[in-house]
Amino acid sequence: MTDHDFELKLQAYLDGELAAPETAMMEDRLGRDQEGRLLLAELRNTCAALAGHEAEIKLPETREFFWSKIEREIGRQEQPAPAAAGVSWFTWLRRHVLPATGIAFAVCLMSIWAVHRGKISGQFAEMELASDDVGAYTYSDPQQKMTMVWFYDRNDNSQSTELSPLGNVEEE
Amino acid sequence: MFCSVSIPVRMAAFLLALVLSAGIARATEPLRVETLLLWGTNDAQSPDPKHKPVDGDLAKKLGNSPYRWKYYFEVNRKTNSIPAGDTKKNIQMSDHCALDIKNVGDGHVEVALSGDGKLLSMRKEPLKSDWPLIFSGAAKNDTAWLVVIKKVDASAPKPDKPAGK
Repeated sequence: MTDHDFELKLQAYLDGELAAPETAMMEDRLGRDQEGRLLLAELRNTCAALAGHEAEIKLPETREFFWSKIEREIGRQEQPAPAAAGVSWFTWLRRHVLPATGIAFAVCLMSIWAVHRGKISGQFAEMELASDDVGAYTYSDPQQKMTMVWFYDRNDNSQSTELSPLGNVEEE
Repeated sequence: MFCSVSIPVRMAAFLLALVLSAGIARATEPLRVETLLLWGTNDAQSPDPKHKPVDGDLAKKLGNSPYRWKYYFEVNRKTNSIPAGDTKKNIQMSDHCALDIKNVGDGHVEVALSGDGKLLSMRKEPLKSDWPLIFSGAAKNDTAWLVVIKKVDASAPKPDKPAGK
């Protein structure tokens, strides 16, 4: 018997798990083996120390009831989550109205931009004269809502600024 | 994928597309432009019996303008529908005066004024129905010529036949 087998059998002997013939053989050996007796004594001391300090856990309920609770909890977690009976108004609002609000906001921004762009582009005009001999005065009257351009011949002194009805306005 | 989007979102997207298409349509719609050749004078009667005195809103505008003539007569009137991007060339207002009008889109026009076949000026600006653009210059005997260019609303009735030609 190797030492390891002896140690295992010694533990079993201590726990009273050996059969009668093996128990007799173990006692015979222990009578002859001092080291074995010392190991047995050490094991007994260890068992006594552990037994004296082991925390005692007591279930407040019966064993069957405890395991029944675990079984029911496992069963509950395995069930699929039941579908919501009704969608709350806030969820509906968030799902439907908020995206529409975002798009409406984008439309408003584009409209403001378009109106603003139209106003800016509507305020300015461009003009080019084809000849250096021709001059022009431009006058925009916001009250009468009209734009007037007066052309004159730069070489003709009789058509001076004084004669132009738009003489005191923007010259091109 | 579009089917998975909620109905309000689809409606909003539809409205957005509608607004955009309306804007594009406005920018590309044909422009009806009315052009008038007027003669400004201090004589109450025109020597040409075909000339019709200017009346209505335009007469009021001219009466309150810096122009110093007392009477204005309509010599010629033309109306053209110009598609966006197109140019109506050689709108002959008189034997001496012609216009090229380009609809550059978004309510803007580019007007080229020619006198006796020579280009005088190019002008680009927004054209509105209630805000005419008037080219003008001195004529004989202390009178004046005026070319009035204005937008005609699509809903406006067809104008009368030209007074002169």
